[in-house]
Formats: sequence, structure tokens, C-alpha cells
Amino acid sequence: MDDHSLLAATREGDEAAFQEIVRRYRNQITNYVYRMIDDYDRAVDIAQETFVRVYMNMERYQATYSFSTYIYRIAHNLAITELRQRKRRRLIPLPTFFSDKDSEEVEVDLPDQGQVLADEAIIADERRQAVTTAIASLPEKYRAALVLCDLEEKSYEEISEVLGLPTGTVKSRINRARNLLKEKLRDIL
Amino acid sequence: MNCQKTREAIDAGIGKSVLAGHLANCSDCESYSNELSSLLSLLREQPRVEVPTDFEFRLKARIARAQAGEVESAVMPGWVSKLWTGSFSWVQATAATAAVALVVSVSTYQIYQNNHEVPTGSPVAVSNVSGRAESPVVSDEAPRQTVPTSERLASVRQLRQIEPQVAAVEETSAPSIDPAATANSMNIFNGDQGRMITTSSQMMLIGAEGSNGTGVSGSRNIGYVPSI
Repeated sequence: MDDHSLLAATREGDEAAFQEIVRRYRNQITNYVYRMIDDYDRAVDIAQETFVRVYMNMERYQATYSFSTYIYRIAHNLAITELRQRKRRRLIPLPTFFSDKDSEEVEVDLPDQGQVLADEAIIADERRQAVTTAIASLPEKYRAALVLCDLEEKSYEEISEVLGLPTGTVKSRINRARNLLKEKLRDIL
Repeated sequence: MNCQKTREAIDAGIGKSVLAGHLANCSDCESYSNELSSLLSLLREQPRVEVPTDFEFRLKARIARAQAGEVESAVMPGWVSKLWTGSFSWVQATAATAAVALVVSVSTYQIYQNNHEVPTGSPVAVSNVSGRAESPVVSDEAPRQTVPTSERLASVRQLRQIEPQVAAVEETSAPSIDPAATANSMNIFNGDQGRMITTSSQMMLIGAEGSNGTGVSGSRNIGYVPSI
């Protein structure tokens, strides 16, 4: 059953249909928000809020574009709101300890190759952590485009709808984000 | 295909096989392609987070709360709900307090102005002119605003004209009242004329309406006696 059929069933009072929607999107949405805000607990909280909004506004949803785009857009807006509230509260996210004042240049504290234990798992974990830190340090407008494209594997058109931007701007932001990441991760590429 | 077009194709995810001709002869573009491939591999290796096991349980509770809140907001206006739940921001609370203070100040000032409005003469004197010499300032009659301004001003002018006469009456009219003549008569203050008149109840009844006499005492020409 496709998303629109599940939504129609939910509107008819079928709770199981809504559970199926949650099951399909819960990890994707949580992952996307986590990459945006770099805080797992808040990411789960925002993912839940996303589903609450979908449910409470079920009657107003119009299938003009895909449900996937719709739910990602809600999650994206909530994530951006969270980031702005953090700025207002002057909470300093961990990655900014590694970045300069305009968040463009990041000194990632990569492990010294000579000191790394010869354990493949540990090395892989260190690399993943470095990438996570580098992603989180990107300016949010580049981060959103990169995460949607390269982690969530959305098409340019879908990203354009989620972010409400022209496709050309989306491509430009993705390229800019990739170039920034290459600079940040030069030592491990 | 030049380098710029090749890099655009690489960014768009076009496979190396398509670009093999250019990449074989351009080390810069080949390096660019390899670097991007490595980066994308790193990104795809990133572990995906998963929701906790109680995600759906908590979600159901949250939806139930949201539905309860929706019912609540339908019952009470938004600002009451916000007040109830304490979700006003400091800015909103300050603005609301300032607005209430302003309304109270303006209202208090208006009430003060209405109670102390003295165009010319005192409110009591105005009451006298209208024939209610002893009536209190506060009455249960129709509100003051219903009296046209022109009427009020005319009353005030009339009062100014009769004030000297009132003073004269106070000095002269009282001793002139004959005790014998007042055996069956009444002393009445004529508000319009600003003097005391003495009359029998009978004559008062006869002459109560429409007489323009100016006598001070006796039963003749008692003048118009407005309601006392």
C-alpha cells in the first residue's frame, strides 16, 4: 500500500495505517534530524513532533507532492527551529569547538596514525566520528542539502521541494558542502 | 568534453565509464573524481541512527496530549489557554501588562475628568438652576452626557445672572416675611428666580404653572415654581 493510501485509511480512522506510516519513516526522519542538530535525544523528540504534526494535520494534507517530501519538510523546519532556539539560548554545539568563528574552517582532531591501535573496528569508528563531526560543523544551509543528497539519497527535485529552493541552488549548495567536507577530511580521504 | 563539463558530470553522479575518455587524459579531473568517490563512500558508511524501542508508545501518548490540547483550545480562547499553561513569553507578558496599565490609566483619568468637570460654576450650582437645590451631585437619573451642552451652558449663564439676586435675597428677603402672613403659608425657594417666596398651599396650586410674577411674598404673583 502506498503512502497516500495509508493516509487515506488513517483519515478514515484506521490506526494501523498510521502505525505503518510511522514504521516507514521513523528512522529516516530521526536520522535526518540527528544529522542536522547532532543530538540524538532531541532528534528523537523532534521526529515524534513531526509525526504528531502529520497526524494532527491529516485533514489538511493535500497530495500535491509526495508524502516523503511533505514529512521531510516538516522535520526540516522543526530542525531549523531547534537550531535557531539554540542560538538564541547561546547553547554551543560540540562541533563548534573545532571550528573557527564563521564555521567554515574546521580543525578535526583526527587521531595520529602512529598512535592508533591496529584494530580495524576502532579505526573505522574514529573515521566515522570524524565525518560526523565534520558534517555537524557545516553551515546549516549546506548541511541540509548534503545530508538529504548524500545520506538520505534524495533526488535534486525532492531536495528542492523539501528546502523550498530552486534546483540550481540545491546543486550549488551540495557542491559547496562537499568541497568544505573535502577540506575538513583531507587527512582521511 | 572540457574539464568544467566533466566535473559537473562527476558532481551529478554520472559514472566513470561515461567519462573515461576525458579522465584517462586529465589527471586533475581524475583526482577530482577519486576524491569525490572517497568522500561519498565515507558518507555512506555513516551509521544510521534508529529510534528507541518505546518510540511508538511515547508517540501515542504525545498524540493523545495533542488531541486533548486541541479540545482545550477549542473550549477556551488561545490567550486564555496560553495564560493557563504559562506559555506566554516575557515579551508578550510585558506588552500585555503595559497595555492593561495604559487602559487603566486612561480610564481612571477619564473618570476623574468627568467627576471634576467644572466648565463655569460648580455642579451643585448647576443643579440649583435646574430646580434641585438640595439634590446630591450623584443621582440615579439619566447620565450627564444626555444633557445637551447648549442647555448646560444656558443654565450656567442663568445662574450667573441670578447669583447676585440670591445674595440679595439671603440678606433681605428673610426678615421681610410676615409671620402672620405665613400662618397658612409656606416658604419656598424659587430656584429660577433665586429668592425665597412665601405662599399658601392653595395659591401655590393655583399659580404653580406659568405665572411670571416677581413678588417675594404674599399670595399674588408667586411666579413659576419648578418642582422642588
